[in-house]
Amino acid sequence: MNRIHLAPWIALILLAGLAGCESAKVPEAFPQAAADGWLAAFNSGDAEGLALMYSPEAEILPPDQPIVSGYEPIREFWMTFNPGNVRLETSEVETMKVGDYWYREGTYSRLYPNEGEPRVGKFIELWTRVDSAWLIHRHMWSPNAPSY
Amino acid sequence: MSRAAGILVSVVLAAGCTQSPAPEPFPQDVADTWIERYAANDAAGVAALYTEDAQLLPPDMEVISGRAAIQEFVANTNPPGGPQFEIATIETLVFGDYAHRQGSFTIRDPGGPVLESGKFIELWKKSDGKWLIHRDMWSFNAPPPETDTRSDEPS
Repeated sequence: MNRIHLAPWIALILLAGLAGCESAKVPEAFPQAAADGWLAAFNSGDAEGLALMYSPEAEILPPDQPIVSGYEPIREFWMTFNPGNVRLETSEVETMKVGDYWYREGTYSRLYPNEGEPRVGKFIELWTRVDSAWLIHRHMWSPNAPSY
Repeated sequence: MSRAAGILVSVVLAAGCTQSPAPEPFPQDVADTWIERYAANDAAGVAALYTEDAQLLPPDMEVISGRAAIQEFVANTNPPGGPQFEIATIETLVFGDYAHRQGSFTIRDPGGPVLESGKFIELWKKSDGKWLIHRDMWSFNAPPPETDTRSDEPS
């Protein structure tokens, strides 16, 4: 008899434990859909969309320029960059889960109009989750050869 | 019975999800050692503060991988008598066996004006109980000056 009464309590305890953990869980896989969305926004020239893929406290650290912080400056940066003019590809990408963040690194290849050879470089990103969305928190890149 | 189970539910809610231990502080002592060794032109000593499979990601150069290559890079780019190199830490995040540091740097003539400034991001990794730099990326805040100082650029 006692066993029958215990069963629902045990189930409730287990469910409570699982529910308590759920909000703190970081998925085991890198949020690739978010990274794919960033790349798609870049290659379609959607500077507004790109800016929305950064966290409110995001910073981008571009080469030969000071740090760009926050939504509006990041939006202006990408508007000026004019990404639709460039075809971007990434490769050799590695991801590491670091606490509640994801770290991603890799190489990029940018093909500009009227240039036969792409400009190649490397990048690192730190991704964070804001509510249910994975967003870029820090973004740094540099070319593999001088462009000046 | 129901009271005991209620207490148990509360305990599970409060602690059933394994809490991450409070993060330990950023290993500033190792970062300080990096500065000391760099100032002393100790390329081997600087390289020893990186993981075996560490990578430098310098501007306008390809990625430099591995401790031996890092030592060679530091030896070539930080000769005795070169410009002074100063670092300021802006942000650190420590999460388990990894840590993130962001900061700024300046390069100046010994006792003279600032020649260039820049920013960096590092990913640190704890290996065998020791904190070491795993990824080290930096870039300058402006295109190179007329007089190129970047042959002495820091790591």
